[in-house]
Amino acid sequence: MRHRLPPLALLAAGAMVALLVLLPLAETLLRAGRIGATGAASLLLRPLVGVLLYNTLILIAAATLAAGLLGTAAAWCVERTALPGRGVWGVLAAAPLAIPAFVTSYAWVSLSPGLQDFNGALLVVTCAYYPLVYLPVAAALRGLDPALEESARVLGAGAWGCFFRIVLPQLRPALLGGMLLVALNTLTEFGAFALLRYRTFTTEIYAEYRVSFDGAGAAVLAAVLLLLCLLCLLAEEWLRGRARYGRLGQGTRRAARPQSLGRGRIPVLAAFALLVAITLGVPLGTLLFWLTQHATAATAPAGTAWGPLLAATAASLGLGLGGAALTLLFALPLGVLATRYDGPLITLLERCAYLAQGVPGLVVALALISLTLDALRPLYQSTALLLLAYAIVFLPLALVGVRAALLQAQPALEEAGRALGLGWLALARRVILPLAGPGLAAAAAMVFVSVVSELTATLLLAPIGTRTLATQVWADTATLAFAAAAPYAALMTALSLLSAWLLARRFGRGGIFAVG
Amino acid sequence: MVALRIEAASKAFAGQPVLRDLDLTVEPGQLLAILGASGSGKTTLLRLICGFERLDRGRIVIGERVVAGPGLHRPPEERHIGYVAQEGALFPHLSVAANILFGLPRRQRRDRQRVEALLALVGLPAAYAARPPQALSGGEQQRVALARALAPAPSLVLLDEPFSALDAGLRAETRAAVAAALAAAGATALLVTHDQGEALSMGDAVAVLRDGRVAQRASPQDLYRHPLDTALARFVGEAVLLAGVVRDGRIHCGLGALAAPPGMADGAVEVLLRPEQIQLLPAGASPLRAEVLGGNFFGHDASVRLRLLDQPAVDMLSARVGGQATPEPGQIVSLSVAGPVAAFPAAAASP
Repeated sequence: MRHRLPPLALLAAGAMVALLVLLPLAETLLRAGRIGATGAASLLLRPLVGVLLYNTLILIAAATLAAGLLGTAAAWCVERTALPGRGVWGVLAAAPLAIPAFVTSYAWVSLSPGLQDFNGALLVVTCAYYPLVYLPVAAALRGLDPALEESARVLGAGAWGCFFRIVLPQLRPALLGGMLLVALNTLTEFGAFALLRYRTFTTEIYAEYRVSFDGAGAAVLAAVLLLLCLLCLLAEEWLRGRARYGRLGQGTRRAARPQSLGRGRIPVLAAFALLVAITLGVPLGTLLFWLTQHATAATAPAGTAWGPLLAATAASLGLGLGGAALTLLFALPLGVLATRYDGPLITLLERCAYLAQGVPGLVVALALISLTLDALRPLYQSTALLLLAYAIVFLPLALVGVRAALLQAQPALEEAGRALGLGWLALARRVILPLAGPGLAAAAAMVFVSVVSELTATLLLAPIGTRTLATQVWADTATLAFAAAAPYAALMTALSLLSAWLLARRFGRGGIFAVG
Repeated sequence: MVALRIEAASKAFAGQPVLRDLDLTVEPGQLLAILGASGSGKTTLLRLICGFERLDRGRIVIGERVVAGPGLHRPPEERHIGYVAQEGALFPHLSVAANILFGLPRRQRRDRQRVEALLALVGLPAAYAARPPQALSGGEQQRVALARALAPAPSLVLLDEPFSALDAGLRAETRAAVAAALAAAGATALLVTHDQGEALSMGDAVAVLRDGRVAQRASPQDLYRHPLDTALARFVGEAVLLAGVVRDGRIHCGLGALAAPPGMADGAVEVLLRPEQIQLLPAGASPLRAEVLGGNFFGHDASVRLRLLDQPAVDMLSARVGGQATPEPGQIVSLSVAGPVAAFPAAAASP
């Protein structure tokens, strides 16, 4: 089945998608390049850039470290100790990923304006993104052969020695991979930092864009942000290539024997309770609090009117469905190419698609705006352009799901169907769809949730008059109308949590992972 | 002094007893094979000795030190034993050399000569030291795992079905290398296995585990020739069991009158023969005539299914012949019985 030449139409479709993904990237770099060396130098050597770089890098360093420690400790306790209620803690530790970071940020800011600094940013980012470390590390721990630890113990290593000499080196790829994802998300996060008034590249790019529409300053900053993101992506790729997850042998494996916590049981339980209270309790509790306040309790531009709420919900759902459909349409040819064919060209196309992971939504939106203003004015501020932005931003997410789904329908099964006399249509209906269908639906659902809670691209590209749940939360919180924002934020969070729960129930705990 | 003494060890999982008052000793320098079907408790026994599980009752003494007993549980790292897991469990992030030296104190972890000596002991070239374990075949990984277990010079080495994941050819070769290395190191070893051939060929002694107890402990020869009951007879090899009667020191059964084991009381018995004790002769060479029903050819030998022609009471026999002279189905042959046979009083034949 492999090493066959793919049909030309399929290859062309895949190449088109890859080019579309590269478009904002190229546009951003070209626009920055057009400024010229001296112009760029004067824009880059501003003290502002130093401040942004310092703000961003120090936050990334602190957040990845905190998330790494927190995620690893939580994963180890859930997977390897006799902690009471391990299953529940496991779900609760992954759940913060389903709450949009700017909602968490809104919750904290509304609690205490004093959090509008580095400490607040670190708190919000760590709360929102530590599951990005927890999930892969927990999976790696589950996949770790207990015989390794047992052998180390018999060879004289104590519990701590065993952890540092055997477990930690095995976890390193998962741990560092997760920490890089935290770094990437911190780089691209916009809403949370804007609410916290913590200045990073994203907030500054947005501000400069608002001030001068197609300004050179925003273009140069966007290029720097893009390069930082691509650096993260490259590091992750390099790490993945080096990873020696490989367990030797393949026999059945004994389940790990949970370590007794002894006297540490109560403190560990208390620590988990505190973690959940901070990462889930505060955002959800604050939302509930503001929901029960009269809108007039805070400075509210509008009361809790049902009309705008319904309109925003309808807009979010519509954009979510449209975005999911278009993204899946983009991901399908690449997915089919990647799972059914082989070769350097296909690898290249796939890599291009994954590059989108390193292009922040803000950068995509700005590039699309400048492209349409230059060449395709009718598309400017159209729903079609917004959907295109979603499709580019969430293509990697969809591709992961589509790939996994198409791998469910193995080529050997298709061949078996062909041998039993099925034509292509019957084959698709009776073999491929039943096998790959649920996975494709899951991929679409993940994109749907992500679109509903997407803020940056929506804010910049939404047609005039279109208000979604996310932009409404943004508008109200920006004017400190916390109670007015509550219904929108609550609805968005409920949608996200519900989808994550459905996905997790269908596909295991990893399902939530992709939502973030 | 014994190298390992286990006294009245009991262990239950979720109320289900796995070991019941098990007693076992291993002499220094001995390789004792623990043979048991799955669920017999052999892996639990090994994990209790290692310290991965806690004993419910009883005592475990390694050398002179009590490592587990009432109110006492020494962690695995304080027991100074060697352990070879089912698939070796080599640390995938460390080189072969680093794996072998893992259990040594930090100062000794750079000892290249030690690595080379240990590699030589298990029959591997010194060039393997720098390789990652992934570059080794399954059998080589097992040998490195043994070298790693032997490096800290433990007083006792435990091997948990170390050859079960290997294919047949590699298994024989690895078994020989492991046996040689253990003998050269003068190590006391406990080999857990469900493979009769492995236990009989490698063990200085074999202990058969059944229902959480030692059903019989004997030299391999004794175990094969004089099992304590018919179930053990079937478990340690292929058995031909016939009904018979002992009278005046002779057993009368379908294969004629055979010499009874010394001291056998008169009465109904079950007679045990091994298939290789039934010899095929040209038709007419003995009064025992049989028809060949069929057989399985294995190359080095073959098993032949036979029906006794003049003894309708005996339904079928199985014999083993060399691979060069296999009879055809339908052929009439004569039989004779070679060597002493074992017998069990009929009432107590089965446990």
